[in-house]
Amino acid sequence: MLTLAKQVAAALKRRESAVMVTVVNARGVDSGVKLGAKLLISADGLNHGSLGSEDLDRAACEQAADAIEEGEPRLKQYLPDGTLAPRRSRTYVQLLFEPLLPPDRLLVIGAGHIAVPLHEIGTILGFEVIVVDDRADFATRERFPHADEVLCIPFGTVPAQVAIDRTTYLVLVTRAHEHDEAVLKRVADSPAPYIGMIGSKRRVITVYRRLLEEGVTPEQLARVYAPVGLAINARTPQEIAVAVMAEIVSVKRQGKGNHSALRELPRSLQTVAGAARPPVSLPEF
Amino acid sequence: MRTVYDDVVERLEQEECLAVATVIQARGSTPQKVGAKLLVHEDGRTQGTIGGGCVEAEVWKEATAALRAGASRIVEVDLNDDVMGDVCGGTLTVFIDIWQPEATPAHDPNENRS
Repeated sequence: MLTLAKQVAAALKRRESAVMVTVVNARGVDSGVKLGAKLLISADGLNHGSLGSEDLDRAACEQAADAIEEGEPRLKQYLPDGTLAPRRSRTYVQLLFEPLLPPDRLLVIGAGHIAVPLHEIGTILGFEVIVVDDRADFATRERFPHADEVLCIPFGTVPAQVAIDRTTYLVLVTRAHEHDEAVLKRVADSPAPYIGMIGSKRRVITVYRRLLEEGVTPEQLARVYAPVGLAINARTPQEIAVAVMAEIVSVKRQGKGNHSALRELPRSLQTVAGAARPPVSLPEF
Repeated sequence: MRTVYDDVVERLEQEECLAVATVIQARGSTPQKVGAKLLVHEDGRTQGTIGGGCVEAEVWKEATAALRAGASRIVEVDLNDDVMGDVCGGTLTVFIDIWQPEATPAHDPNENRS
């Protein structure tokens, strides 16, 4: 069982998806099917272990892709031949399908005073946390003891150095708007489900104006949550971190959080975006 | 990022058994959902949670018994019997899986390609 546990731990470290299938109940079945028997099905089709019957192994493999897609643990009842058991069947094998998915990532760009509580709350919420800054004395392990990675790299290299996928929640909390711009224009078309950027309305509008001039589209800006966080009148860095992480939870769980972000581009920016364009409204909350 | 499986590996490498209790069915208004896990070590220490104190006390008792017996088992926990009052109602079905350092026939880690 150690081998199997190691394989699971390693797959999760490599951020691979897999499904762990376990026999959790068996009634009226007198084959080699035993309680606790396991089959690990990797996304690449390489499997480890067995449920004790080839038919069940095959049936479980057929379900694997759906289980990963659903993303939630499911219990299913089978007959020993691998077909689904009818309701109230006296003979059945219960299989627990547990999708093993890599944890969501929180990518904190900027290692200043808000990044510290952000990385702490992110860790509590189960995110894999990565912190980025270009200053070696800020991007340190001592400052971010809970982070999975602390990277000291130029801001402009973020999308090249850190893979941004649809499980990456990105927060821009750099010390200057030119750094926000450098990252934002490179991640505006990324599959990240959340891009938040700190700053007063004025700073946000300054950043948006420059990006529109550089060719970023209003539609791309429409995805950005800026000013960042839910509207809870947060003042201290810790409170701001709570507002941001609550916003991320709300986006992730499709909640109804009241966002602070701009709801539409100010008139002055709509002309920058091109007078011929219809006015673009910002994120649909 | 540590996962349950890192803990499992760590225990098994120490030549210890480990009970992994997983909620497999939840009916009624239960505090935890399917897939929630509680780890019980040989020395009785726990990690994770599958809900309220009363549920956990019962599952812990079953898990330590399962560890002694060296065999996985299923436990039904009736939350309506909760002496703490009627905060929760419903039933939880919990699978207590015993992970052992040595491979047993049921857990033969033979590899096969589908």
